[in-house]
Amino acid sequence: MLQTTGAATLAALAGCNTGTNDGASSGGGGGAPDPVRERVDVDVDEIQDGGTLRFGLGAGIDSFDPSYSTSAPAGNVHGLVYESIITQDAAGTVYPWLAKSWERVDVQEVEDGAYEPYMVSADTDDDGNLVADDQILIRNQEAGEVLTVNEAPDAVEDGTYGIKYQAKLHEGVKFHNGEEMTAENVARSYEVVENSSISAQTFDSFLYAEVVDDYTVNIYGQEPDAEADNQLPVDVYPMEHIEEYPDTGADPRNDHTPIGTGPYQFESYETEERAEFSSFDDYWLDDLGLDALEWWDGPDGFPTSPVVDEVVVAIVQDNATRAAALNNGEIDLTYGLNTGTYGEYRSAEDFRLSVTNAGAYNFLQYPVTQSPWDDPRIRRGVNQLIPRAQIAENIYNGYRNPAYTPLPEMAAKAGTVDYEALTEELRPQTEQNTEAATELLQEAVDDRGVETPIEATIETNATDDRLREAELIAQVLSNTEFFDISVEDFEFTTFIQRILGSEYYQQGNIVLIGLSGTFNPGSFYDAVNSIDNFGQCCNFNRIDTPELDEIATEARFSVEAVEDSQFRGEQYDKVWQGLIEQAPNSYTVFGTNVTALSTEYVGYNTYTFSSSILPYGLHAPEDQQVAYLNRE
Amino acid sequence: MSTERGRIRITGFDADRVESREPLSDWTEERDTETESRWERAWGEFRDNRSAMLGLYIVALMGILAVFARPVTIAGVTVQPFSLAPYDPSAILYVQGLDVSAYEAPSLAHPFGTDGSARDVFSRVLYGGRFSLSIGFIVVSITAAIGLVYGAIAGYYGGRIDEVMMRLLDLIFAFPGLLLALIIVAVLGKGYWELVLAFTVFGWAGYARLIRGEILKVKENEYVMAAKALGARDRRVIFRHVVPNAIAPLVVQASLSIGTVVIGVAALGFLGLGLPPGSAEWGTMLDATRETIVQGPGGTIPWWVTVFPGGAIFLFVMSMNLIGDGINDALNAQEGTDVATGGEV
Repeated sequence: MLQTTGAATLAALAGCNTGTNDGASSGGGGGAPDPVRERVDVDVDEIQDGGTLRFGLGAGIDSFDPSYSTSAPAGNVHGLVYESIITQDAAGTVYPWLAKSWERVDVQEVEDGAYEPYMVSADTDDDGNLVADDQILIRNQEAGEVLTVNEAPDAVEDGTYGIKYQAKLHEGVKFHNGEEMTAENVARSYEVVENSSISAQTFDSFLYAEVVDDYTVNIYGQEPDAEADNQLPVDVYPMEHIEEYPDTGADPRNDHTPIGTGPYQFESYETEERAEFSSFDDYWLDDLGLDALEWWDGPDGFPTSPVVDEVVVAIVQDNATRAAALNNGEIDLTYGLNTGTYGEYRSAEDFRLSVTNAGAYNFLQYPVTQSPWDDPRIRRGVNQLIPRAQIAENIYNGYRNPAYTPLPEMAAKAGTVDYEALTEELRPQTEQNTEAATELLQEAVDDRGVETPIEATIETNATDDRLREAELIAQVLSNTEFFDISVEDFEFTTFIQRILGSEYYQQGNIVLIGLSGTFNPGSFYDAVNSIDNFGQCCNFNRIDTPELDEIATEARFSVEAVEDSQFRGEQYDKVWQGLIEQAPNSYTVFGTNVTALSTEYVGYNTYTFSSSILPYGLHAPEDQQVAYLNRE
Repeated sequence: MSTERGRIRITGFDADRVESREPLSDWTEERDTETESRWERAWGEFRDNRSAMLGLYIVALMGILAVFARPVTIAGVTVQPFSLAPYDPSAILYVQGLDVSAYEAPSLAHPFGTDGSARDVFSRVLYGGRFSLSIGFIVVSITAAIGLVYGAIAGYYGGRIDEVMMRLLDLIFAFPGLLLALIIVAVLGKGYWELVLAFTVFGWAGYARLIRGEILKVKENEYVMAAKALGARDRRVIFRHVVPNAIAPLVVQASLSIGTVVIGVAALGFLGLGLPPGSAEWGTMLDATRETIVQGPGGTIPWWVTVFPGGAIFLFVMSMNLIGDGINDALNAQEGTDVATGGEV
């Protein structure tokens, strides 16, 4: 069975994330809107080289190895050192990066049971799940058989696969240890991800990587997959890492230096204090020049690598302390500060604010298995009571947009036929309308003989803004005759453990939390609705919408979806309409990434995902993005 | 043989001289009044203590404001209809259709300004007294009562009973009080009665030790022996003869502890472990506005959201301490004008 799981994750002050910028989807294409608000440009002639950039990170670095990290903030560190064969601009368009070219060679329908001849029998663990020593790609629970990475080559040899991509690599790409990157590195980098903490994200669609020659590699996917161009690639590791680093991955805490092909090499790390990086002298793009990138059509003289010499990542967890550090000039930029301070950074002379519409939303999840919340009319009624405009305006000071659809605009290209039409269509059912809501609720309450007021608790994680949002919603609901809603808050990690518990859905609580998705529009559906994600990110209340699952699967894993973007959009439109109809979740506001920075750091723009705020700003030719330090 | 043998005679005593001499003291029968109980005397002393009375007035005023801040309804019956606070303390004002935004500076409409959720800080500070004051008084009454009984039993019976009971106390004293309260709230969850429990479960230990010490002293008195000799039961001896004479330090300690408990409740609230978020409890209010202390460049700190709840805590605790000191002075036999100090004739 294929899981439609995207790399979606819970977003909080310190959200966790499994998708770095390569864990996202094409969606894009040339016409997608730029999510960066008020993008700033630099004049190539004015760029100054050198200097040390100090970045304030609001969370610890769980691992320096991308395949052992589930933290979105840590992605900012990974992006300095590691690179993938592709990169994605702020709108999600995929560009070949370490690969000269990255093209789909073949896509074909996969019959049910096509992989069965290659499967081997497997043991079951105490919970009845099939287990094997090697990374499992496909499970056949009834037969007790699995397809692991060992059998995948046989299937591919016989022409059993869903999709085939070919990467032709740049020649002369060097790792920080002097090793040269070849097709072997790309193919074997998947070994690093095997049975790691993010393995499910890769091996739900990856089948096999085959070395053709030194600089050509074919990568196969299990099914026809419309997101394959961005879901199949992984970060590329040197042989030293693949062969010698044990199961804990590259991390200075284990005396294993992170080694990648990236523009910065790791220098030092003081636990929970700071990490330092210096520019890599032998960076491949410096040697090859931007013209080696076939898609490059920017101005002459555009830097081939970041112009900043050294990067210091200072870990300061408390928002107020980080703001103070920025005010005092101890750091140059940071993100995730309290909304209340944004206005001041915007208007201050020595500071600037960079805002990007993020691939994220805040959502309320109802206890859909518990009475009376199992009645869709109750949920739709609540959905129409939520004061989205007030939340956006009064709590987030206009830095976030009301979520009238379940789909953020940055994923709109592949996620709908026409985003504006979709919003227009869904808005009458998601905009605050007390009258309509009262009617719905009254009908449901009378019908089922529910005693009012209905008591419930909104549970959320303890950040100021989100708590205010919960209190506002609770008050608006309680102001009607139907509800008596209270609010409870928890520290983030405690809260995650609590809501991921397998019994949690029986407690009848409403959850308010943030979701950080990917460029893949499906990530905004299945993470919070698919039963496959129950007990994981982010189905806490045992939501099950099988008929929508089917449409969402069709929208990604079918030959039609791969070849016809119109078809994809139509399928997803059906999904969004179904979601508003069944309303297992209510989407309140879309996220934004807001970075506050000193004006000494010139030309900076924020990325769509908080996992790549630092690397993207430094240098991203796909958006002609480069920033430099001008300290006077 | 003298006829006067065997008779005791006092010589040199001149009754007339005694009666006619100047009186040695100014005592006269008319001047003698009813015996004043120590509690009456203490109240007199207390009343003369200006700072203590100031504290009493402030606490009384805060108590009245808290009670009359919003109507009190018990089981559907409104027992207190007054509403001094202009707004519902938990009401987000823009939801009510009012043109009020977050962090509005103090004005006539909102004397203490508004907080980050556009709630009226004045109403919240008034109402918040209900939590702090009631928890303070409830906790202290319960803990003092438990401590009294525990300490009295340990002190009166002594021996092995005392030994065991005091070692249990040592165990409790080995942990910092606030830490224990924090653990209890973390286990039980947030809430009013959870907080009361958190401060009572171990809070009585101090009183127990204090009262035991006093009782060790008092039980040596003759009137205790007399009561026993007359056949009084232990319970009667302890609670009619011993405890009333040992209770003064407990009263002092209790009055000073109310302030400590209120600070403790505020501290837990500030750590996010007190009452549910959004409650108008003073410490919780401070927690919700903690991060306003650091603003962006050129930003002004909305001082009213921290100063007023903080000020309320300060005012109440200081007043309670003034009262406590006043009680201490009033009950202290060494104080007062009619007691000679050592060395004086």
